[in-house]
Amino acid sequence: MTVLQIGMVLGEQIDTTSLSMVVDGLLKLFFVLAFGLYLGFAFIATRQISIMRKTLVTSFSPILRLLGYIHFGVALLLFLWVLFL
Amino acid sequence: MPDIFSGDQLLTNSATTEDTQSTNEQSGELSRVRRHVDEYSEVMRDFLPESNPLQSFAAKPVNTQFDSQMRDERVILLLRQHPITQLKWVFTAIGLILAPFLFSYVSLLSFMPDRFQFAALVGWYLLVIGFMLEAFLSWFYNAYIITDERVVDIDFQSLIFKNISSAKIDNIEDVTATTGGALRSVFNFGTIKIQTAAAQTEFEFADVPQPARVTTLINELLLEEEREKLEGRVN
Repeated sequence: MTVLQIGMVLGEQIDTTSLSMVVDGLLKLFFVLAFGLYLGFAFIATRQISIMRKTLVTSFSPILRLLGYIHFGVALLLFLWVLFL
Repeated sequence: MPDIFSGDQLLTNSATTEDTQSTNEQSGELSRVRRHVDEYSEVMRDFLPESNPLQSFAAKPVNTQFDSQMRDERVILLLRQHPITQLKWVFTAIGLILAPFLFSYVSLLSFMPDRFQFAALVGWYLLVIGFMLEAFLSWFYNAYIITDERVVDIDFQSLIFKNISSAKIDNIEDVTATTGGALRSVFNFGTIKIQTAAAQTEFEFADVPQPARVTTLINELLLEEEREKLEGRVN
């Protein structure tokens, strides 16, 4: 194989690697933003559950509050997981 | 001797009256001498206090209050939309849960590395959970309440918009129940429209169970209000 041919093969590999890195980076950015937005929604949902519970008080309210916190906790954990993906 | 002339009943009634009056003296507020709903409502007499918080027709619900409720005001009936009306989002949620399995043969995300495909799947199910939570909260907290004083419409139009309307029973002028269609007839739910002389002239209780019973109850409450005025039980 000539030096030129070796250079061409290496160049193709570098291009493929760079492209792959760029795509990976974009995908990670997309997922971080998406999960971050969902984390914001989960936080708003916990606040809204709190307002709703004060508006209509029932014996089911504590369970809904717990569900809201679990939902927010899961969203937070998944956001942190995506950060280190 | 009929029970109405028995000494025990007189003592009970007078105890109720004295309690009400002593409470009124302490609070210094305008008040009323009020009978229990079972005494004047044939509809409510058929029901025991409801302890299940997930009911869409909860008569005399236990441990239930709302934020503008007055101290001596009792919740007689809590209504929500009939569970049948929620089937649409339930089936949608089931479809969304099964969608990844159905589309697994199509390999839509094959261009992504495996870890991102897994992240997309996790994100998908997170969205489905959020959708189900919002739909349930919307059903649970959009409620219609009938107390011995008022009708109250609690409306959360989205997660961030709240509207609470109420009208005194005194101001109700007309009550109309509409049950149309096969589904409503089979499952006995319908829409109740209440015309009032209040600021909000019409209340609509949409797709609530047993609309005929609700209408009868409101009429009984109206009669009781008029009876109270005639008998001078409103102080």
